[in-house]
Amino acid sequence: MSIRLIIFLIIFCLVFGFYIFYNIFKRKLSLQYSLMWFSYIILMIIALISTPILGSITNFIGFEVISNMIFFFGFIILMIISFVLTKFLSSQKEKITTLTQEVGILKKELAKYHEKD
Amino acid sequence: MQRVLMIIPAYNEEKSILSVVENIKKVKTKDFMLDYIVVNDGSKDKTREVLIKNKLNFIDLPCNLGIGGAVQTGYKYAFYHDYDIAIQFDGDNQHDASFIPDLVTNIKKGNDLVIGSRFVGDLSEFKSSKLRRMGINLLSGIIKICTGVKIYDVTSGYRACNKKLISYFANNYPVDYPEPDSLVQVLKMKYKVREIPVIMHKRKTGKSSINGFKSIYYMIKVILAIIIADISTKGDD
Repeated sequence: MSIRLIIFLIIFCLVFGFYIFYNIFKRKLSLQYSLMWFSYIILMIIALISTPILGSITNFIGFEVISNMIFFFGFIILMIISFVLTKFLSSQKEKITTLTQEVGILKKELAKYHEKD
Repeated sequence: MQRVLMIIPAYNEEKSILSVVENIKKVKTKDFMLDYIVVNDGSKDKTREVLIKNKLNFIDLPCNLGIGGAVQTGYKYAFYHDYDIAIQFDGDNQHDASFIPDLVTNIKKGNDLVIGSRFVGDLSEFKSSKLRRMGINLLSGIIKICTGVKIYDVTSGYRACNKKLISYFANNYPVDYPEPDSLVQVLKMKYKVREIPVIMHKRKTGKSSINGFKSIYYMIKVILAIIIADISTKGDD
């Protein structure tokens, strides 16, 4: 893996990390969900820095070049993150449905209450 | 005297909703009390204005949930107000209100779910297009394989259920294309389901929610939902 590619990827990870921090401070991102992105960035940086050691593992698993392995595992982790998000989305949808129904019924009861007055 | 609630989901039904409710009000009831609730599922047309102007009994959902979510709202309302029987009824004049007493009688006979069916008896002249009937037959066959019970009109939205199922549906009801899915759940739990002949009309206004390319997507989704309901619903066996 060329040193230029490593430096470029590390800079990219750092910029992305700062952007996440920025969003947390702006209160646009909850700390709970930023943690998985931070661990992703940290893992990527560790992998990028330790490329000399990774060489033997790469050969052992059967990747031809280190960069392939890094991208491959990066891709796997991203898949896991998006699956977790889909699961989260499904439970959110269910909660919103229940809330919408209850709000509808409450509005109805409230109107009835006002009519009586 | 038993209290019966008609649940009428309405999405963009400004032209038909008033006549639907008027037809229900015309039904003569001797041995039960008939109420109705329209669930306005975030309609984009003037459905809400029509409901307010005519002082109809309605629930106004703050955003669109889809047919299943709207119907479930009705079941929740029936559950909170302790109704004995709930009947689903479309807001587009496809269903004939004169069969309400038949449905109620069949619930009183001890059935848990009574389906108003186009395909039993010879009452209904309108039986949907050929292609749609093929789809319904296929779903009916799959449900027969999964549950061992043959139901002909598995997508009928004209259904009555008793108190036990009202409380079940209030908490468990599929969100989109819910009829076949919930039917499998009910059959798996060994509830008594019966089909009775009713007349259904061709819709005069509005569009069916299932058309063209969507129908293939619908079939795949419903078959999947049936299989999942089959596996995940705990029966007595």
